[in-house]
Amino acid sequence: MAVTEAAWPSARSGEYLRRIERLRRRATAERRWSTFSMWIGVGIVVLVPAISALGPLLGFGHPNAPNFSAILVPPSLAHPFGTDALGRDVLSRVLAATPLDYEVGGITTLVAGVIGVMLGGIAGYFGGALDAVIMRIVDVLIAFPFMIFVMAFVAVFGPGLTGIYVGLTAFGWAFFARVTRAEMLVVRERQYIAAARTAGLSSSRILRVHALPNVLRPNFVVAMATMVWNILTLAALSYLGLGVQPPTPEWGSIVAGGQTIMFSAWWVSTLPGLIIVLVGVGFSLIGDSVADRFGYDFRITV
Amino acid sequence: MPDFRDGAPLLVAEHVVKSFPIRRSLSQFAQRRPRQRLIALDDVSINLKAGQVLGIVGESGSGKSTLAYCLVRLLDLDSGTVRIGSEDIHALRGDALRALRPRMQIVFQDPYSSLNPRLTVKRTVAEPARVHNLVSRSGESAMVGDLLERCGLRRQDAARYPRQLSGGQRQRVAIARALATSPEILIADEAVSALDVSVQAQILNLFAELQEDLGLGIIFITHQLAVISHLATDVVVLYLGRIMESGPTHAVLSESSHPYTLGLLQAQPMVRGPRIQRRPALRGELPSSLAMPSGCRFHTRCPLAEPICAEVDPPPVEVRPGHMSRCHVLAPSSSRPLSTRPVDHERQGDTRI
Amino acid sequence: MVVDTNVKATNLLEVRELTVGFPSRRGVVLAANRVNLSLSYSRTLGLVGESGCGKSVTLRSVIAMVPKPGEILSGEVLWDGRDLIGRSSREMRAIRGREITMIFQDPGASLNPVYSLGVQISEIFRVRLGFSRKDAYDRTVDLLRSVGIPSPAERIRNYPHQLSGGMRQRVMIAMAVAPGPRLLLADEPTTAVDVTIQEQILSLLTELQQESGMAMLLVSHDLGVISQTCDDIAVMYAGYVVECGSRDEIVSSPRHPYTRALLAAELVFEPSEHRSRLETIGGQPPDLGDLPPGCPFQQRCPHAKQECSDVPMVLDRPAPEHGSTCPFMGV
Repeated sequence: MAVTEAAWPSARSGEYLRRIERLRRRATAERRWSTFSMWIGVGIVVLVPAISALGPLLGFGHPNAPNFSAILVPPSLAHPFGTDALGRDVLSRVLAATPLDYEVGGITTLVAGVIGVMLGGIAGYFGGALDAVIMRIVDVLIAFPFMIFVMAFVAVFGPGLTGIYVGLTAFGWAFFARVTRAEMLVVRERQYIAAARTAGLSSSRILRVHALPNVLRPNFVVAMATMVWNILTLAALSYLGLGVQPPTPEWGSIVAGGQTIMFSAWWVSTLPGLIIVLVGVGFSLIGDSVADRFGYDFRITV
Repeated sequence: MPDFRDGAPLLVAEHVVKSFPIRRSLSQFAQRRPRQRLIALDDVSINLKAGQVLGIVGESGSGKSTLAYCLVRLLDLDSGTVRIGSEDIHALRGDALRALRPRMQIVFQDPYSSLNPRLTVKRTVAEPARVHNLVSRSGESAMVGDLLERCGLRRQDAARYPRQLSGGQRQRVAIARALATSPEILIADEAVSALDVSVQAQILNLFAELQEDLGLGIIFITHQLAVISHLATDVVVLYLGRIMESGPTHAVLSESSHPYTLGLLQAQPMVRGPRIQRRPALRGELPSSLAMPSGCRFHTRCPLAEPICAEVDPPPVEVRPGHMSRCHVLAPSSSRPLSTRPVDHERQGDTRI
Repeated sequence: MVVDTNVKATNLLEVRELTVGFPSRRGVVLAANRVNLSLSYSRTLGLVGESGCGKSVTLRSVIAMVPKPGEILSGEVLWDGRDLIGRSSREMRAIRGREITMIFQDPGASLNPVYSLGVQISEIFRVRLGFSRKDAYDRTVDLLRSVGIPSPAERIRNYPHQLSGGMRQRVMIAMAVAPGPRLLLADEPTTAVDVTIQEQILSLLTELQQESGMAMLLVSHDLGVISQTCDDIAVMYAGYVVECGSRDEIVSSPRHPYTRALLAAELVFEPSEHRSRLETIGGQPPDLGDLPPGCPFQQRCPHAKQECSDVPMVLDRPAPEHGSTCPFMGV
């Protein structure tokens, strides 16, 4: 404890001690909440694929096996999320779709991140024409209605996931680039960079060792947001029929399948939809508490 | 090989001019006004000898940091030369330039941003030496340990990160890093200004020790005259990019021959000095470098200004051996006193700008 | 604007046992620890110390502007005999900006960039002091002139960004003295300006203070600045006031090892060619979260002994006498 008893004579008022207690509790409470929300986020994000991995063992039925004797069964113990129009257990389908969604979200975010950080870092460090060109491309990308953008790639590559992978990556790097460049403009002026130049280090070494590692922080938050965004986009595209083809389960296509029967069999669309939202919230919580830790005023808006 | 005898010239800058372009506003662009340039250094020459500590004193806008950057070629010059020994550093390229870097190092002002937060002290200090192949992997630890001890830190501090160190300790690390390549010249750009008073004295003592032990030439840039008086053998006083007075510290501080130097001296707050006077030494503010005053650039604030000061830029005059000043009043050129002889331009040749 | 100074016997401002705490990862950190100060009418008191000593926090506590998440944990701030702590925000607002005003380190801090100087300053006269528009304008011009702004009638239309740092500082001072305050709080007012401008600013402050008779509480890390401008000095370290007295007493016969060390570490001009070693204070500035029991300076004090851990950290002689918290320094 920072306060030492030896420094006080006996007559400290009760009020004073109460206030100290209150301050101390408030400090720890804020910290605890931030950590707590982060762990909730991590929990969600890890739990969903973990349960999915156990999928077959849970015995709710095969995700793709139609069962015409159990069509549109409401949620019950045997089928926690009910069944869909073909009698397939909805929960199994949601769980089976998990690896796919995580994979698409994860890979596109990672690749877009690597590209974006590199391009943004170079643009910010060297400035000049290089900076201008890269940033104008970024501006155009961000201004573009991204759905159309991704759909264009799907049109080129045909139905299936390839178009989506390429489209999401080709779009996603722009945000990383923008954030990295902004951070690089600040880091570039730091005196340890000037010291490195004085010491005669090559530009590539300075970028690699000194500059880039120090511009990474805000990108973590962007990565979380991008992950959420990409999963939702995949869901939306599948909903529109442009992503995976039946019968492959994917969160968005599952929701789409239940659209026409929303009012009679609400569980087919709603419950998977909630899972999508839940996973999104999980990533956002992680991103927010990381942002809190590092003092950024970055909030994920989904 | 450079000459290390005391007094041999180490770093010589001659007639350095450095300017920066100013962005034009849209209306200026439309009117096709030529792009203005902000002249940060105007005909600056310095001479650093081995074993010497040269102080460069100036306030904001004086160009002192720009000068530091030009001396180590972090910035290019418009004109003029900077030589180490006999090599013009601004004419070098590529490998030759890289080979030069170890000989000249800088310690910066801000201890909180001059160290890469992600590297340990050991990596930070060793890096310059490793990059120039001055030390092997195996010899790194020993070298770093020696340097840290020499700079007043412990060998164990090599494993720590900057965030675990105080401002004074970080500055010591920055100094150790600067010494890693065994430079001949050390430039300290306001190296103690961001430190607490009690720590400043420690670091200044360190500089003095290093200079004695290693025979370095040090250029110490600061706005505090008192630092100069403790550390520097010679001093240069900068104002708006030009040298107003230069010479041995003792002469410049106790027998100043320029009103700006005198003004700076009076303005330094002294603990045991008199209470603040009602009439400050220098009136007015620093003029913008874009609107440089005519004649002597200091005349707008000078308490001794005469009419000629607004018209003619004073030439450098050697008032004593090694002691130069640019002032019509306190360092008049030739022996004519100003008040008795009228300015006769035809007779003395063309000295007007 | 002249204050009637020959009436009261009590002090204008008395700070008693002020303690301010901040939550931190290691519990509660006391940025100000049982601080006692007193300031009489028309006098200047300087708070001096290094980073983390608590001088800024103490200053801000006087007008109940402790930055969050800090809180005043105990103590009193007596303004003209009445406690300011615990007053309602409405009462504090009446006092702030009228009887007690403040100037800051950042020269632009009080200036709103979207309004011209004239608008901002005359607002003080109109709204707080009830002058008419025309009178407010005239007084603004006079005020700008009195703080040394050339061509005030033209400058009044300028915006803050058109002024240099020194000028903005003068405008900030103008806004602070416009309402005729009885106490001016100055938080490192010259740290961000050049030394020649600093001289001008300090000279201006002294002049204004003497003309109006207002009291001034000046915070600075620069002992030279404090010594040049203040009648009385309080030296702070790690949240404690370790020594307190008149300027002459403190400078000529310090009674605390820290004060002595600060004085010795001062960079004085060497009169001769000989360059001697500077006296230094070993170690680093204190970590408020990790203070030893008793005197916080013992880790760096050249005279430290075992008994230093039991020192109760109270001034042995109350203000306005020359007091120190160190019982071992001798007289």
